[in-house]
Amino acid sequence: MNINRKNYEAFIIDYFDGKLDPVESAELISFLSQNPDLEAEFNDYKCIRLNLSSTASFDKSLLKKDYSDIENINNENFEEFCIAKFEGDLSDHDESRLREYIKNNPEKQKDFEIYSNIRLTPDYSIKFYEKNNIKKISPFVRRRNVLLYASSIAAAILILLMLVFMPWKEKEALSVSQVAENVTEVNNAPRKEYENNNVIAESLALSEQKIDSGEKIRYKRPEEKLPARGQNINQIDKKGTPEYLTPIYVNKINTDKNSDIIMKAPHIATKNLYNNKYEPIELAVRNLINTSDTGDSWIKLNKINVWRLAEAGVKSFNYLTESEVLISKKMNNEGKVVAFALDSESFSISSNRGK
Amino acid sequence: MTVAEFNKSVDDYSDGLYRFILKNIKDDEKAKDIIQDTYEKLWVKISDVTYLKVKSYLFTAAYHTMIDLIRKEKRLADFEKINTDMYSHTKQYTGLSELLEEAVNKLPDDQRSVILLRDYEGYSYDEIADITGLSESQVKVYIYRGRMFLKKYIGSIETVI
Repeated sequence: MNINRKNYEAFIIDYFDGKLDPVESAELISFLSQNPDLEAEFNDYKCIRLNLSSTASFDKSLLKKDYSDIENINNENFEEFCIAKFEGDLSDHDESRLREYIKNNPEKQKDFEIYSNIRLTPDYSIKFYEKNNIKKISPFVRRRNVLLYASSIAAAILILLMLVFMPWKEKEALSVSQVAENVTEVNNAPRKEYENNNVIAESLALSEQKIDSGEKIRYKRPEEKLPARGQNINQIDKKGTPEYLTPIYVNKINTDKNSDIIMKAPHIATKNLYNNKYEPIELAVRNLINTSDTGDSWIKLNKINVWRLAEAGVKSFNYLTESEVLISKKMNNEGKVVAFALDSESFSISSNRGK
Repeated sequence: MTVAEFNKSVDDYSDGLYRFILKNIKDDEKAKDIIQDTYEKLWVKISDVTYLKVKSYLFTAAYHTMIDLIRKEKRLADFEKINTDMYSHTKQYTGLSELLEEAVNKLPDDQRSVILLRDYEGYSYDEIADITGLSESQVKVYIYRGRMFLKKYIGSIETVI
């Protein structure tokens, strides 16, 4: 080991760090004795070095007060005892000491009472009203939403299919009086073959009228016993219900002048696959969506929106499957849909629409 | 923790959390933001936090978010210094609760937080220490100092009244 005036500091540091063995330490001491000026520097290092053995570890208990160790309650520590009492930090013995002190010093009673009243109480009227913005939707609910949207789309498709192929219930067909009001006579019209001759012939035979050429058929409008809205069609007593006819080209009936009578459909007619009847599509749609719009114009049906289509889809679904699925919605003051639901005996789906 | 438990924690603790934050920062919008942030943090950690620990987690996260916000706005007061002006009062008080409300607003932030946690939520010293990151002894010291300040404030006003 070669200690000189250029490297002695490193040796001094190693010495105090305990990195020098006894031989090296002896050499360092010998070097310093030969260089008294450096020995003073060595002693300075000795002074500034912290003695780890003398550094006490942090004792939390030093910060904790055991009030039993405080011999007397006095003016200096009285408030601390008051706080400790209401924080529950006093033992029964210390509490009795405090009571005794207050008894002997009545002027402290007021301070004690103030301390008893400075506990804060929450204002429960303050509430966080945006909980729904924080809440999360579970994957199950997400799937339910997907199902709901898929159901809506399916319902919309279903209603379109229904418009073309759905066999309408009899109550939705035009009554004989409605049809009869649209009857016009066409003289010498060519004879035609029709699918529903028997029905028409029988129906018209009920009138027992013979029509002269140029005369319009006028039937008295019968009192109709239509089912109330929402009433099951199967529960209606049909005995007194007038027979319904569809607006269709009427085959020749018994007239003296061998003329054909055409009963015009008021608008577009769609064929009923179930009972081979026809009925105007406007009426069919209106009946299906149960709209309150009673106007005759097809344009007014433009008011039909997706929601009404969904209602119609569900209604059709109920009819086809004999189910009782209900679709409902909740609207806010602005008329916007804020929640909707599908309910039935076997399932229930609801959803709130976010902002 | 499940999603249902997460939503339950919103129902159970968001009100108390909101009151605690609002009482500290006195800013409704910022308090709401902090609650939102806190629950977003919980959502990220949803698999790590059990429902039994969720309240403590929420208050811890909300407290630190609030402290960060306060520091950003340089509103963190030096709680070692209590300005004597704090004891000045010009308002008319109708009751102790209003007086106490005024006094709490004048507390240094750390003291106010620990006292609110203590009184509003009934947390123990060690629970407050976990939430705030302070030592248990610090919590106790802050509570004692805060109580003394409140008593002194109320006492001084009662003298005037």
